[in-house]
Amino acid sequence: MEVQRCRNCRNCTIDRVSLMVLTSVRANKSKSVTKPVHTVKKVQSHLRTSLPQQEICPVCKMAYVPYLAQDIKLHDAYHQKVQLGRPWTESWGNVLDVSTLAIPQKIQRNSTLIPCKYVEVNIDNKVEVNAAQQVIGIANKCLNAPPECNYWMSDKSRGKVFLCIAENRAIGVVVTESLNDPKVKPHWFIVEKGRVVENQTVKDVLVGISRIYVSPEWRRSGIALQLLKVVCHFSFFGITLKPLQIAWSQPSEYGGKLASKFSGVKHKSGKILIPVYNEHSP
Amino acid sequence: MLEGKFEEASLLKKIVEAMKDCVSSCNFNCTENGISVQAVDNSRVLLISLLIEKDTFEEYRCDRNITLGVGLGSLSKIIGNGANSDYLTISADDDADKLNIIFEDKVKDKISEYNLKLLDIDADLLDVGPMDTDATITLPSADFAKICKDMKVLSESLQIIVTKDSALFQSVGDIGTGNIVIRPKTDIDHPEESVTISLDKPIDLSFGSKYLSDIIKATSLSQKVTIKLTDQSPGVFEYKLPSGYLRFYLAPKFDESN
Repeated sequence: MEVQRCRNCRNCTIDRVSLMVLTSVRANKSKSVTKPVHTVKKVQSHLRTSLPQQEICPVCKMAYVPYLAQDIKLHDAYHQKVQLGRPWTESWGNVLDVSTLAIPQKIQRNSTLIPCKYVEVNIDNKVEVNAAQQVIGIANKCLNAPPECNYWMSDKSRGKVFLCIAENRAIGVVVTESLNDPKVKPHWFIVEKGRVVENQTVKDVLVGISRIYVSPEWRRSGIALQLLKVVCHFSFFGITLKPLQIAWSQPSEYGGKLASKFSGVKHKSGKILIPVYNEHSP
Repeated sequence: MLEGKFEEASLLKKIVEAMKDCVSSCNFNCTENGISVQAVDNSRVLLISLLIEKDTFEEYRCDRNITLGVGLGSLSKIIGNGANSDYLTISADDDADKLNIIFEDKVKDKISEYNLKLLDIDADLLDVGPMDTDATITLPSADFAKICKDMKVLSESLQIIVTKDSALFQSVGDIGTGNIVIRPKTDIDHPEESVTISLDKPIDLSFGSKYLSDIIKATSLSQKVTIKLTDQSPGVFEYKLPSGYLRFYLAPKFDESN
């Protein structure tokens, strides 16, 4: 059996101890001063075993070394971001006025009502865009999805990012893209079977939902449905979209349930159909 | 079918008490030769290796090799219910999902029976290969426990320096330093008080005080502790059982500059 030294010794804080030799202190001095003459830091080594070195958190999917203090700290910070939402500065985002719409501005959580707001990410503010990308990154990791096409970053008319903000955290996100390109042909999708109906396109679809995600601690509060309503009202100025004008990109199991509730159409066979599109269509 | 009867419940109590603060759960690997345990603590700094040979038991049988995943905190609670002097019998079926624990009072006609739910622990048996030893110290376990406790107040590390005729335990902290030197001693009347030091190569190793504090919880298991040290390798702290051992393999601390 061998020992394994910490690879990150320079930054690692595990069990470090400073060995100090103290100089004598003059008794008649008003202030006592201790002066370290020599400092040797000690770093704890670890046993190298056949056990797996890394663990993957089942919630936040972060791979980390569970016995390294630095890794544990990084994981805790990221885990909290995933569970509760990424911190979001008060001034970020264009706040959407939903007061006249049927969108509540409070969320019930643990039997208390918490104020929330909906914002559209301002693509001219780089810090804000960076933060939004991190929120989407968390969503992609948790949904096991590839990075989305960043249309929303290049031009407002090509896509948008709406966020639900509560307790200064981005607790829900929806990324949309415009589907006004005639080459993009949305199809019907049988939710139960997870299959696309070929040769049947859905007409009048204007917006695609690229990603929609709510932080685990805030789920079961209807936030995703409210975000979809925001998409209906704020995707185009002066136009309120109907649910069937919104298509879905590769819905997950829970995404399929949400889509069925929001824009599901019951076929005569009894199966629920939703409009879907291929996100990577040119 | 596993069935093992301890002459006194105190032995298993002491073993579990010595282990439960280092690891929360572990697999008890039962074979016809006895019971063994290997477990690594969460921080991967301390490895525990336990062997209770069949001769330790008053009666022992194990028809097939079985692995029992045990939560040590739960086991400690249950075996805490028996008196130290009671007979303690542990038994489990080959495909058991629980461990039966029976206490028999030697004086009163009283039998207490408990079941402990077993855990499914995914842990492979580690191969602890033979280790060369540069220095071996054998000293009374109570003395070693006192050294560790005394030195812990000064620093988070305990340095052990072994030379030809002595072993120095040194602790250097912000508030000051402490040095305890022990030398070989042979006490014929009280052999358990003897101290032996054998050396092939001088040793200078440091260990984390908090891990040593966990190790010395095994003090009541044996009157002596044997410390085997090798340069740049884990230290081995061994407490002998009537037939078997409880060993701790502790990864050392190194100077950051090295």
